[in-house]
Formats: sequence, structure tokens, C-alpha cells
Amino acid sequence: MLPDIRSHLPALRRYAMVLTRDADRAEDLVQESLVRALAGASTWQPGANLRTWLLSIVHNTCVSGWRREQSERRGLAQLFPDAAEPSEPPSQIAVVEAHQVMGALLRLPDGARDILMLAAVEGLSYREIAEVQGVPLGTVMSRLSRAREQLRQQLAAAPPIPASRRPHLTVVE
Amino acid sequence: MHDPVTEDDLTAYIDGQLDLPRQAVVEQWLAGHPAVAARVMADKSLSDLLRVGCVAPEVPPTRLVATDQLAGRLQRQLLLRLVRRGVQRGLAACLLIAVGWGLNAMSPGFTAPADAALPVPVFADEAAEAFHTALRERVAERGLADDAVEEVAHLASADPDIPVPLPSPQGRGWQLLGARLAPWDEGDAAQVFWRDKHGDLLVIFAVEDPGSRPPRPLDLVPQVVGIDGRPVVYWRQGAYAYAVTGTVSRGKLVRFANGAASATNREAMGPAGAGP
Repeated sequence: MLPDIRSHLPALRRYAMVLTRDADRAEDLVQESLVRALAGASTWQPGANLRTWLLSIVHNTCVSGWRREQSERRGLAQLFPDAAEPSEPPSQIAVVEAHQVMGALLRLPDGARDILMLAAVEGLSYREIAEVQGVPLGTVMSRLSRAREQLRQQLAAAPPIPASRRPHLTVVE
Repeated sequence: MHDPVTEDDLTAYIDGQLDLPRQAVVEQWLAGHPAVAARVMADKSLSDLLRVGCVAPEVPPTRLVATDQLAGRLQRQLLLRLVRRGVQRGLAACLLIAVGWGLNAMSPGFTAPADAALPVPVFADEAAEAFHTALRERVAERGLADDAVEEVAHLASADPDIPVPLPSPQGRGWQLLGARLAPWDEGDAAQVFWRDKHGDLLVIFAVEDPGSRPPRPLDLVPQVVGIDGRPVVYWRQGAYAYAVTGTVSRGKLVRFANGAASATNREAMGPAGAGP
């Protein structure tokens, strides 16, 4: 299959966002990762999983000092403006809940939110996640289990959505 | 009978990573453990909600362009790598068609004179990148000395005693702005800047590429491609490879490249050859 980098950009941006928790810095991270991918293009093996290769570069770029050079948590609200609390009445309850869950995910520590995102959102296999993050398979599973536990705790501690912001439900017969 | 289902099984079940037989075992086990089953189903629901909630952020168009250009460069590098590796004949054939088609679609005005379906060589890609860098850094306006050309030609060569031959534009109105070394995949390239009487730039990117495959007759004919929205004309001569780009018109680039290529070919064939 011919490599198609652009089709993987949304996944790279999502992963970069979860790693950096900031939209601007996520794009910086994606660009820096592409520059590093260019420099290391010879490490890509034709036929290998391109998405996994790219995600691993994003991951390595982030953990190899790039993040330390950036200021942390410049603006959680900037990433998902209505993640923690919707500013406008959403049209569907799932959207409200999704924002709430996303806000909780972003409050998880490093190593928890990114691995959960790769498994739940990107649908990577555990072997692919191990490859992206450079950790053993067993570590992937234990981290995932712990991340889910932390997500549940975050959601249990989160305030309920105010009644005024709850979506209006319509009974469909 | 001991409990066969582990926490790892439950995690893998939530992520849909169990094979069917194991999935059946876990579901049977969950049927007998309603409290755990409720937690597992809640976790599955959270995964669904994450998929709804996690969307790519909106990126300002200016930043999108930069990212897209990087993605395009990387894609060309990987395509080239595919060709170099010769993974499969059939794949390579598809690739040539795809690259040619993509380039034509991307830049409708930039049709190669001979063979648009050739994959863009690394040096041409690097020439385009070096030109963009020079524009960004306003190199042509500052920091160039016209007497550096000879020195740069020597430094860009594998053997400093034998400079990289650098063609010059013919005709009146051309002003040599200077030269500098620019990095590329195989070492240093000579990047020479000329300005025409209208103030437009013509930039020559010349490299020594002795490690490349044996040149084919088609390599001697300048090819035109569009890279990041700008025409780049490239050709080879022996161990040297050239790419020209700039703000001058595509026609000027092609005329210059045709003249330079035929001059260097004449020089290579015999002592009667004239300068470019």
C-alpha cells in the first residue's frame, strides 16, 4: 500500500492533543514529529504499519525533552473549550457526556490519558500500543487497567452537569 | 474449579481485543458476576464516549499549510524509499502513475516536458526546501557574497580540488547575488542565487551524487515538477545533479535548464562544448 501521510494527520493531532493538552502545542508537536520523521525516514520499513510508526515518533518526540521545553498546561480550556463544562446547551446527551468524559481524561496523569486514548479512540492493538510507547505488552495492559480506574475516579469526583445545561430530551414514539 | 478470567482479560474484553472463544469465556464469567459486569459495561460506554469526545482541534489555516507541506515532503521521501527498495514491481508501477497523477493534479500548470510520472528525486525535493528556507530567511537580501561562488563550488564537491560545475544564466540582465552551502541528504549542496532584471530570483541547487544509480538517458533531459506550489526543474549530468527553482516564471526556469543541460552534455562529450 502506498504511504499516505495526510490521512494519518487527524490521528496524530488527536494523540498530540492528549499528550500536550493544548491545541497550539499539539500542532507544534505534530510538526516537530514530521520533521523528525523526515530525518529518520530510512527507519520506516516499506510494508510496516505507517500509523504506528508515525504515532511512535509523536510519542518519542514528546517524551524526549520536547515537552520539557514547552510550558505545561498552557490552557486546558483552549484545547476543549467546553470539555469540562459545556458553554452552550448541546443537542444530544451523548455529546454532553462525551465532553465530560473527555475533560476527565485530560485530567488524568501522563501515561494514563495517552494510553487510554490509543486503545479506546484510535483502536490500536495492544501490540501496536507497546510499539508506539516502547513498553512491554504486559505494561500496556496494566497501565490501561489503572487508567480506566483513574478515569472512573475522576468522573465520580466531577460535579454533575447543571440542570440548566442538561439537554432537553424528547420522547420519540 | 479456579477462576479463569483475569483483570487483563477484562481489559482486553473492553477494548475488543479478545478472540471469539476467549470472549465467550469472559461473557459467561461476567454473567455470574453482575457487579463486575456492570463495571465492564460502564467502561465500554466510556470508551464509546471518548470516541465521540476526542476530535482533532481546529488549526489556523496558516499552521495547516506548514503541517501539510511537511506531510507532503515526508510522503515523497517514503514514496521514494519504496521505489528505491523496489518492494514490488507492480507496486512501483502503480507508484509512478500515482506520483505523476498526483503532481499533475496538485499543480495543473506544471507539466513535465518528457516524463512527469518519474518520482521526484531527493535532491529536487531538497532544492525546493532550501529555496523556501532562503526565502524565509531573506537570504537573497542579506548575507550573500558574490565572490563566494567558487569557494562554495569546491566545498560542495566530494573532492575539493574538483569544484561542482555551476551553470550560469545566459543573456543580459542577470545579476549574480551569491552562493552558499545548503544541507541535503547526502552532504552539502551549492545553492547559487541569481536575480533577473525584474527582480525575480532563479536559484540553482547543485549536488554531487556519486552514490546514485547509473544515470539513464532520460535523466539528462530536464524534468519539471511542482513542489509545494512552485515549479522545480531538475536533471543530472554524470555524478552531478541540478535543480533550479525560484520566483521567475516556469518558462524561464525551463529555458535555463535546457540550456544548461545541453551545455553540460556537450562539455561531457568533447572539448568543443561551450559554456552554459
